[in-house]
Amino acid sequence: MTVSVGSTVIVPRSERSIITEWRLSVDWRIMAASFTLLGLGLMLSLAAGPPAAERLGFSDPYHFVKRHCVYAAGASAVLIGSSMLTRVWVRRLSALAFAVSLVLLAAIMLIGHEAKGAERWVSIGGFTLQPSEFVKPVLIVLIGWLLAQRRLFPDGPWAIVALVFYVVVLGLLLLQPDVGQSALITAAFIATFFVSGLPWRWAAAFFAGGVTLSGALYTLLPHVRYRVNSFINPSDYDTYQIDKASEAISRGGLLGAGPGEGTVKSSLPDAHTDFIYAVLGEEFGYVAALLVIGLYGYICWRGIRAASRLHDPYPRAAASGLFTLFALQAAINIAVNVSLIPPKGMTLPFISYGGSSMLGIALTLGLALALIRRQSLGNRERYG
Amino acid sequence: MTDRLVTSEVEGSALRARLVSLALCAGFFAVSMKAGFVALAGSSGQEGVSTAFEEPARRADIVDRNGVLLATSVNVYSLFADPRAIWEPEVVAAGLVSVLPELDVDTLTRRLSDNERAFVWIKRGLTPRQHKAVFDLNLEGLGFREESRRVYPRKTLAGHVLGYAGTDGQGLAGVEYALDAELADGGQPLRLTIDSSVQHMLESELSTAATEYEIEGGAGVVLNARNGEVLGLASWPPIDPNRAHTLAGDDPARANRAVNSVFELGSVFKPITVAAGIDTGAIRPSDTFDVEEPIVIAGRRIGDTHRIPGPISPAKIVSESSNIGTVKVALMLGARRQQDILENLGLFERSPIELAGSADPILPSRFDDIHAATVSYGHGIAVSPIAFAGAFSMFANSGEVIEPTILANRNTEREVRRVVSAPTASLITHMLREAVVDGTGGQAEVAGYRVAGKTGTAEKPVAGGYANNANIASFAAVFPADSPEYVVLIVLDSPKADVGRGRTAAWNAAPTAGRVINRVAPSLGVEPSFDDYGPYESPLVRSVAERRSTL
Repeated sequence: MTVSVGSTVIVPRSERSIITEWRLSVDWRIMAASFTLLGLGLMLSLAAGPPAAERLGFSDPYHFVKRHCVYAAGASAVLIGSSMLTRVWVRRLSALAFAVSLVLLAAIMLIGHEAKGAERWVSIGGFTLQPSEFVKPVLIVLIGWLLAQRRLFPDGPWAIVALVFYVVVLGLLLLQPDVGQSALITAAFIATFFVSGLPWRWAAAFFAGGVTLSGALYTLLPHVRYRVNSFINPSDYDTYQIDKASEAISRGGLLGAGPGEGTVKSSLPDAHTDFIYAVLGEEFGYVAALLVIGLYGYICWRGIRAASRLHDPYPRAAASGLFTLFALQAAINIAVNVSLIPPKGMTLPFISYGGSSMLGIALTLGLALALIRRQSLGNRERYG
Repeated sequence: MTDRLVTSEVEGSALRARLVSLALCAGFFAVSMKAGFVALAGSSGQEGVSTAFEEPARRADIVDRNGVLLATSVNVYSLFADPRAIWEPEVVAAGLVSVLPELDVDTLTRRLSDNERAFVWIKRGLTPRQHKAVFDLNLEGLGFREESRRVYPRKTLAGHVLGYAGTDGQGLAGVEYALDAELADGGQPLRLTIDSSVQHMLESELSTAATEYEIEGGAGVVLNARNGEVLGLASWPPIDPNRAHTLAGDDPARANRAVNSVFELGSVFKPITVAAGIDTGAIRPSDTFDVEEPIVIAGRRIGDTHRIPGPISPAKIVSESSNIGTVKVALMLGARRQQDILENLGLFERSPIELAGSADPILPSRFDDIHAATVSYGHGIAVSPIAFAGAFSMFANSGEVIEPTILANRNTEREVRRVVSAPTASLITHMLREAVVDGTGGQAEVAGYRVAGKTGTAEKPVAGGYANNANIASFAAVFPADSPEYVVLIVLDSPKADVGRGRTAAWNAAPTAGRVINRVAPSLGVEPSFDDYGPYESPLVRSVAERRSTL
């Protein structure tokens, strides 16, 4: 039997196992929403997977479905496993993962696999891995922790170190070039910084820097310019993907064309990854789409609310940043699908096919859940 | 750190976190609004995307008289690139070459690296399979434009008649060129008078002749004399319009020899001269002509290839193909009346057939005695095969000629001209039948289909005169002789002699025409008849002919 007082869980001495502590302290509603999304992803992979397999010449129509199942299982394990971590271990693991990711990102410059006009992948023992998917959450955790140190040791150059970490990652991402991830990580970084107490003049500086950077990207990177231009003046460019996506979503209407009745999955190369929302919208309609958007919104709202109630500045800022990362990725992906913003090359968390992406998302949310987990007294003592 | 400090700091920070949450939720709200708009209003908010490329009207199909598809338009995908949007030209080029091996990787890399340009064609007219392969590469900066491409499913069949259209769908030859505007407007298929089966038989027999007689070129026409409709029109060497763009500009296959070329057709003109003589009363069918001695006109000696004994009738002049006899008829006819009939037959102008590049005839500079004499047996005048087939059709249409046409649903009136009387036409047809039964056209005979026709062998004109070792061999026929309906004309350029056969038309054009008739007659529904088609006996026709001759 356990008693909870505020955000503190009192665990009997006899039940001090990690599992029990986790079971009693984790936010089960966010966990349930996450697994619902994972389940929807599996369902949609049954719709979008076989046409993709056929298109890419795999003899097994369930090639992507099977792999999706494996990734989803892996994501579940990562989600649960990382949410079991204590705040200290979240930070330690993040520091380790950050170092490894940086090395891998740097290695990509030399040995990376190229996909879709950019080098984002590293091949390890036959598996391709996208380190940028893992560097995002751990960077945010580290930033949150670094900025929180300003309270404890006001003399240290914490903000500068955090900024350097961010700039290094941003630079490596831009070199790939991966503008979508760069934008995402910038937004999450600003959110973390903001929650952690960003001075207003810094905010102004970030705004100016962001505008300058966007302008520079538009001018210097041809494929960014192409995407933005083609979004602004669609008639001058081939807007095949967003046209097809819009067409499909429109075809789905309110209640959808019905499971398996979709057409977009066979005409869009990225239907099983970046444009899975279009498949959802076409086969299950706006109601299902609203449910999915609602789940993301719910995770975001509930997660940040829980983070905002934390007293410790490190988990509060870091968790806020992680939920921002998670929610913003979902929002951006859907916004692209409904042609609200130019195409970015970003997956829909927990639903899109893709190993690195799925595990990276699971890690993001798992770490966030670990950070907002109600602390047992024992834990708290150990940390304090 | 005191508790109070922590608390106040917590409240400010909590507010900030709530603000972040609020901003994100506002984002989700905006996204869901837009998603609803797209899902329910059926619009992406980017109207005009799909209509931005003005889709041209689909070029009309071309079909034969029975609706067999001869030319159609299919949608193909043309691949272009925006070099400014391509990050790594080498990668894109390598990817493209992996699915389109005909492209050159270096050229492609260079073109894709040209950041000054926003649009370069990479390859026009990709097949659906190629389109899918490129599409699946999912490379940056590439795009497709859906275009219409002309396809000729029957390949070489009626290739010269159809002509071909360019990459942008503009007609460049044949019907495609001549009726470009009509085809470009789209709509109903354009129906030709061509009968695919007749066309096929004609082409295949021309091709057989090409192999057998080693000709340099050839032409064939099958015409319905009653209404002027062209059922078959062929030229050898054949052309596949699907591959026309791969041929050199001067490739011999490009010319439609039945329409674009003129030939001195020789003795096939003789029946025309004799018809004019009889019809005008200059001669009578019962007249006789002494053709044993060569005739000298303006210092030029005109003789026959073989000696023909005794005085002969006009019928014999035709069947034995006597130059001397024909010239004697022409002399009695006179140059004026000779020109009248040729003009009336439309041989002084290009054929009005609706095809690009109908050739102008080459006429003698003046019609003095010697020219009138040579023209009477088909020398010194060069006309296109289609023009001559049209003229020859008078024998199968009671003495009238109708402008030949290739269009089944032509709404404009076609000119019909009476050239000779019906009895004269019938009489000459009889003579032509004699020429096949017992004359130079023997090898054109087809059991049951009563071919009436005339051979023509002319020395091929070369620079500065005539070649004495190359002929233009022709055979003009009407059938069935007792109630003629169809005209067949075969023209062979430089057929070779072989063991047991000469190189005159009797040995090549005549048998070719016979084979064509043997194949097309059943498909045209001509009833075979094995009754003896005897000598000309009609008292009515004789009385008319004699009455005219006494006027």
